[in-house]
Amino acid sequence: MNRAMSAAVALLAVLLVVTLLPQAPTAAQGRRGGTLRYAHYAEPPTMDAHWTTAAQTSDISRFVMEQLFALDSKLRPQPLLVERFTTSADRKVYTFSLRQGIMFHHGREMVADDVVASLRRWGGLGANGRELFALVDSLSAKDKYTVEMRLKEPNALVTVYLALPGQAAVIYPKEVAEEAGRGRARRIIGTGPYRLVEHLPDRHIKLERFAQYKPRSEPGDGLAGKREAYFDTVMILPIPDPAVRIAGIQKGEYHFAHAVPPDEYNRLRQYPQIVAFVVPCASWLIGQMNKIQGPLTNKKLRQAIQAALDMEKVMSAAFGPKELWRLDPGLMPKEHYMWTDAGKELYNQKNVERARTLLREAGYQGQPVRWMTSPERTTYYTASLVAKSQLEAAGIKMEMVLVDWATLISRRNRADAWDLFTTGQLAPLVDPVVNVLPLLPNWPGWYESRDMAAFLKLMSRHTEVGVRKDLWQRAQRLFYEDAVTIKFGDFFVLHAMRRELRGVTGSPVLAFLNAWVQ
Amino acid sequence: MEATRARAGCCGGIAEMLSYVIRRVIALLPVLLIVATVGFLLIHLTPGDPAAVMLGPDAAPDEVERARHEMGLDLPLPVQFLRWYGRVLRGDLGYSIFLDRPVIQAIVERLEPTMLLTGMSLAIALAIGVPTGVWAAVRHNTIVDQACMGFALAGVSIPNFWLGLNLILLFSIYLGLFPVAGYTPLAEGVLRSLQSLVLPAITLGSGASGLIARITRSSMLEVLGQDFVRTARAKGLRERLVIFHHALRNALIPTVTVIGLAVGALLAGAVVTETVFALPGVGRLVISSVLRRDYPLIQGALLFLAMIYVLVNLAVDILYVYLDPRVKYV
Repeated sequence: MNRAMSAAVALLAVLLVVTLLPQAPTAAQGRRGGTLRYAHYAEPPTMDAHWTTAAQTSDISRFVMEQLFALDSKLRPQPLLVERFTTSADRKVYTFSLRQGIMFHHGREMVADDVVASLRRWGGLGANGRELFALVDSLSAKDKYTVEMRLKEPNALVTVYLALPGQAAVIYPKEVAEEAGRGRARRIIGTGPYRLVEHLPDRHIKLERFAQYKPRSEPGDGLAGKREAYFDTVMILPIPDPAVRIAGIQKGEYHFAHAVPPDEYNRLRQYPQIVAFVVPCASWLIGQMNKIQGPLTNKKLRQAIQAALDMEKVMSAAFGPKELWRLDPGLMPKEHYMWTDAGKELYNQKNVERARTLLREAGYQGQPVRWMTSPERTTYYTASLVAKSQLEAAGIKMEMVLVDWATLISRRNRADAWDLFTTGQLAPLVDPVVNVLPLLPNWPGWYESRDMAAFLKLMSRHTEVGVRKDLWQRAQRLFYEDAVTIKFGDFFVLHAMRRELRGVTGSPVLAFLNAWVQ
Repeated sequence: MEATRARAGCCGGIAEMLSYVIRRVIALLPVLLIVATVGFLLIHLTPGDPAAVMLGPDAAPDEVERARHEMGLDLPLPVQFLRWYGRVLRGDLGYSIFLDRPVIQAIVERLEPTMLLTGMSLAIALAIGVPTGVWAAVRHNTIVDQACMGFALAGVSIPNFWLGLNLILLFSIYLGLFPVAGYTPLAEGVLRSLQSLVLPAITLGSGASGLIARITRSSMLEVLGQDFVRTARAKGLRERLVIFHHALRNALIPTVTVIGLAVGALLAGAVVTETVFALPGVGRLVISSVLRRDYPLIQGALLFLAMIYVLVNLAVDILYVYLDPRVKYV
């Protein structure tokens, strides 16, 4: 065979292989039409994304509302409603040029005044908004399509704040933002690819494709880039019982069942028509410790708890299959550029002897440690039970306080009501400064540390990756040395979906912005 | 609810009945006031508050406090109580915090599925319970009797949620006959609406059918041993006529009492059944509002359900007179 012939055969072989390779679904392959039937576990308290941190609100408002920036799949903020932006050399002035011709669902074009009114409202409501607006000196519309934000001090995280997907800085028409004020917005009007048609509580939320939606030209990546509304209609159905959500998927009544129990993972994988969809962004399971009242104000006692725990046993009991959890000392997820294992020697020690030594050093006299947890959240509850027995084996007297979830999230604000409680630090963890809850001094647990505050402050000012990583390594080490919170491990939320549903994104958060039914 | 009745030789007239109904409705008011007071106290003494639920798990404590203030939840409990009580006396049940609409409207919007579900469940319970009870009594101490009572015991004992999930598995997933969950309103098609209620109604009705079967059996046994039944048989009447015309009508009074109680049980059972089948009814509204700590809605729904319960029992008492002319209103 001569050289030309060989080359031709090789080329043919390559073409054949490329043709036969399974193609990753892309938006270009999407099919328009049909109805997405999305079984969610809960009814949102409001569709107003500014007003609440409830995940069900952000899950749903993501179809309808948009922000100036959106996170891509690598958790980096990318422009969404902004065409371009500039930052002054001292990082104190941000100028946002808005995309032109972006229409609200009620038929008016989005302009700078809408952005100013929306951001002002957001900046007065949620924790993230207030954190950013504590630094804002002024926010104004320079012209119809330009917004200028002046800061009191340099900050490198403005676009991160504006892109956070929970309690998001979505843009409403000015009149809607002003009429809602500090209350819940009653008119849900955005610029997103779907518009709200009907909300019948506990029955359905009906969305329809917004015909005047103008997608970005960049390819869709996470929440960023092109958003293509393939469905004519989206029906979001609140189905509280997970067994019924799964039954609906099995029968083909729903395309997507939100949050199913981890122990269903292996069973779901047996059905060829169902995909066990594991969100790739990690959340953590937290045992939060009370640092201002009760026995756990004693750092040595907290360190003893940290030393005694065997995280593998806790995580496997709570989350089951290995695909749904992992052990990791990093407070940022392994995939994040800021990930570090600093302090790893203090994570997952399973060292009962060391725990006993620390208990002696703490002067522990057998005071009961009240662990508040809710059987309503099965995974959290199971983890608490396993950890409790480990701590009791080390000689710590534990007292379980079982309450319903509504009681837990209310009672945890009272320092006298608990010593430990179980919860989740839910994905996405975007930046250490912005949303690692246990590091916030006003979050229940009340961690006050001058050093930690200084690390976080410096990180908020620096853009240079090396400097930020170095600071974060020191901060994470301090987190473990101070035994701020028990991080048991990372977990990945499990959903179930029909195989014909394509284009669903799991990173940075669950989204259907380029999804379609095959 | 105990029937106010007396044995007498003649039936009551319409005027007598009206006066009885008016007296019973007036007597309803203190019952409702007691329900309102106890309900308010129980709910407000339970930990948790709607502000924390609605703002979500990541909300900062000061945000929760702000929302509590805006909702008036930081006022002293007696002040909240008096304000709410005052509104209730004026016929205003307040405003749902979570659903952002008047409580009355929230309840009325959920009435259709609950009423249909309760009606269908009751029909199923009667259709199964009465014949089973009669059959068991007629075949007293035989294998049929034991089988019927075993069936009744199973009906009473099987938890709603378990039965519901198994019915979904069998009839929805394997046989594909009914939808898994959800509700289609009557306005969107009567057949589809009823189809969406069949499995929930069987789930809910099975417990009541067991109860009705047991009561029907025991009262039938009592009646079948009485002289007038022996006389009817001695006259040479056909057995079917003796049982259904003579015995059953006399045996129905305790069953009717149980139906009144069963409506209460069905309304309570609807809380679980509507949640399992994701039906947007009053039962699910109650459980959701408790989990969300939506105080005005819980209080309003409690009052509403108490009123329905009392009115159903009033209707049952009136029905006695129709079934047994010896009963009269006093």
